[in-house]
Amino acid sequence: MLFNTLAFFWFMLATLAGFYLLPLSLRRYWLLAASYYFYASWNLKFLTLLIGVTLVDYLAGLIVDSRQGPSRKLALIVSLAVNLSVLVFFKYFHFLTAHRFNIEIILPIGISFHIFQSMSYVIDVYRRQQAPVRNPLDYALFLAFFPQLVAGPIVRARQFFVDLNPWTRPSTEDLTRGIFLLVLGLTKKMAFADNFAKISDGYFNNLAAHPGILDAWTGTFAFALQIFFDFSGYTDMAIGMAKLLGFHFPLNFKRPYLSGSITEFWRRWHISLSSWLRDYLYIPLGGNRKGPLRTYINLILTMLLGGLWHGASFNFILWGAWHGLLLAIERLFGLDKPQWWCAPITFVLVLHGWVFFRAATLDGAFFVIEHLWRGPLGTLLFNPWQWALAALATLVALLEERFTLEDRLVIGSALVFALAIAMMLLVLEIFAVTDVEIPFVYFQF
Amino acid sequence: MRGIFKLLLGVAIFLAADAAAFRSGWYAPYLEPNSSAGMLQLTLSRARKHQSEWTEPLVLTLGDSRMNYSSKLANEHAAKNKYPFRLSHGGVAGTNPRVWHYILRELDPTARRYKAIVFPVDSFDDEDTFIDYNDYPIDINYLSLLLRWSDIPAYPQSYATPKYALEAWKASLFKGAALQQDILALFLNPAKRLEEARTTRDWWPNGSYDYLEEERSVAGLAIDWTTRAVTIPPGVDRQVIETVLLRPNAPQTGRYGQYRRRWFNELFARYQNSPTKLIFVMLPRGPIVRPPVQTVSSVIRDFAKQGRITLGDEHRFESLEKPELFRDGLHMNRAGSTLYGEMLTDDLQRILGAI
Repeated sequence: MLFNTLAFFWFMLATLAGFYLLPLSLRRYWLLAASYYFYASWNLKFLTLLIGVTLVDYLAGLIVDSRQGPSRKLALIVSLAVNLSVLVFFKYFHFLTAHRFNIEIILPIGISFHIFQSMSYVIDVYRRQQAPVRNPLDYALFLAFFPQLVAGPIVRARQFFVDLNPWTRPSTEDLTRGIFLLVLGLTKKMAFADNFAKISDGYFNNLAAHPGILDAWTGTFAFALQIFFDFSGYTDMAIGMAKLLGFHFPLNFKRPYLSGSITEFWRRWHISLSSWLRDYLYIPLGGNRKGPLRTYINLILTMLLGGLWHGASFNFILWGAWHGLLLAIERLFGLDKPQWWCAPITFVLVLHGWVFFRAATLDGAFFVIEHLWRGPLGTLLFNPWQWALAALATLVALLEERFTLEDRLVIGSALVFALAIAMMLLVLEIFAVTDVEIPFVYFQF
Repeated sequence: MRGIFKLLLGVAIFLAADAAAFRSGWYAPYLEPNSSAGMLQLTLSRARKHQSEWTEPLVLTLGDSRMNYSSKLANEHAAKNKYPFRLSHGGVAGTNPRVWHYILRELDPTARRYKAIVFPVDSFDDEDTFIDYNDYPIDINYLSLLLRWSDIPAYPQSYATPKYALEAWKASLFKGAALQQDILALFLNPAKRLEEARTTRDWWPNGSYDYLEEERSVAGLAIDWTTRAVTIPPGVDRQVIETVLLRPNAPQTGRYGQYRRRWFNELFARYQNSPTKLIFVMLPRGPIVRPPVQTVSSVIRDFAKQGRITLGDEHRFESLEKPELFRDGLHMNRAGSTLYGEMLTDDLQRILGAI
């Protein structure tokens, strides 16, 4: 059940209606039932896996909180081991065994997200930063909450439970912003991401037919736009839906392609993952507290593992390593302070990283990298209105950066808000891709 | 509630903008002229021109691409013989009774503008083919600009397959979405499109009226129906001939009869108290006529028995069903269409005189 389908629209309406019609005490259970139904609509069998992880970490939280000494640490280790074993088995088994075993493993959708979310809860309880959750159904809802179940944002327990206990009716601004984000997210996905996906798929799925430099640049540029609009569009919808239900998710994207450095890029791109990696990997590794060399190593290692989190392939490892290396270089030469005029350079560096992320094989990635700089001139893969869409997106991003456009629209007059909604619906109407169903990129993780 | 109000206001503004662009007729002149919707708009504009410029009583002919009777020559024949009417063609290639209903609603909102309306068919019986016209999605393209708010929910509900019904809902509600491919093609090269649209608009009313079919024929074409062996003359596309003439018979379930009954009923209802005569005539069926199929219904004959319509002579045009008068397996050539036009006007004079 994709967010941009009619089936999901009806599901969301039914969930909202049930939620607000039921007595307050039952609403959380309604949300849990809806979330499980949502997950089961992908694959019923994996619902048991989700419930299993929920039970393990719920119990681990209680044990970690109530015990002292080695048994406390043991509970944490067992929990982490179970979570990582699940992740490793489903995601990395074939990669780690070099495909020696002929067994079919289907990746449970959203596993990387809810495993990380669950791990962070147990770690936070261990660190005494989070009180254990006493009601198992509350914990189940935390992990399964449908707006963020399959592709994040990775919500921390304290962010979630502050909204759940006690739940309060969303404010008018929350409702308005929720609606705005839903329409914005849908427009980003269907009108922008899916159109750019057609270009990038056309390029990356048939590299041999596109040997030119312009093909390489525009094909990669198209993917950069696709993945941003796809993922941030999904996140907008997730945050919007959560707002309509009275929950507040953290910001996940903040115009990342305007970043003046790679360091800044990671403060603006997939913020919930980068902050998770910072809090649960980079800082425990020592962060920047153990001298420059360890800092560089920690940066590269963190990003390398961040790359691996996306999938079991050398492409993702190299993508992570590329970003880790750039972060280390920026730190080494003091270039991590963002400068606006560095934004184009940063974007070009990010583009090179996306080549590894998108290419189906390592050979394919190196083919593209080579053709970004060498080969026949080739052709531009964008047509005039696709350039216009890209230009419109850039303009909106710059306006948002300079004038916080979204806030002004949401808190502005009814007419201004309505005009913005109407504009987005018109863009959606004219440009939405409806002839093919293009899944969300991050659903594969 | 304030959030919902703002959303609804936004939706209202969006629908108003959509209507201003696509329901007002503003966009229609810029449609791709060779698209389904564009061709239909051109045909409507030609028929409207006839309504405003011609003083003689008008007989509107509908039909698909097979209804080609050399308009200019047919009307010259009618004038020479002092027939008290002039033919105006409102048929569009690829259309069928569902689309004709909406064409008529546009061209004849009062149901009194025409002396007669002519419906050409290849059979008065309802032969099912492998195409299910109840669920014919191409109709949505033709009708993308003609559908109104009031066509909801009846029009979408006329499709059985949910996917097509959804497309029909979209076309009825959101014109921009229904015309999306046309708009995106316009954005690719606006200057070229505008020039093409303008040129075609200027040429079409007279150019298409004067148009004479190609002279080539499929003379020499022969089919032995016992062995299904086909003799194809040089230069004739075998695949087209085989697809059209040698196609297998579909099981006769009566679904085409249901379709015809549904849409002709809808169409005739508007003419219940109208002086306009509704006339069904036969089309020459092809260069070679396929063996007859035992059908389960004959909606057109039923309507005729009820006195709601008039039937032309079922065998009137059989003399035209020969390879020398066709340019392919379906369409008459210049000689065939000229003869058909003359015979049709003679027939209409006989029918209208007799009514």
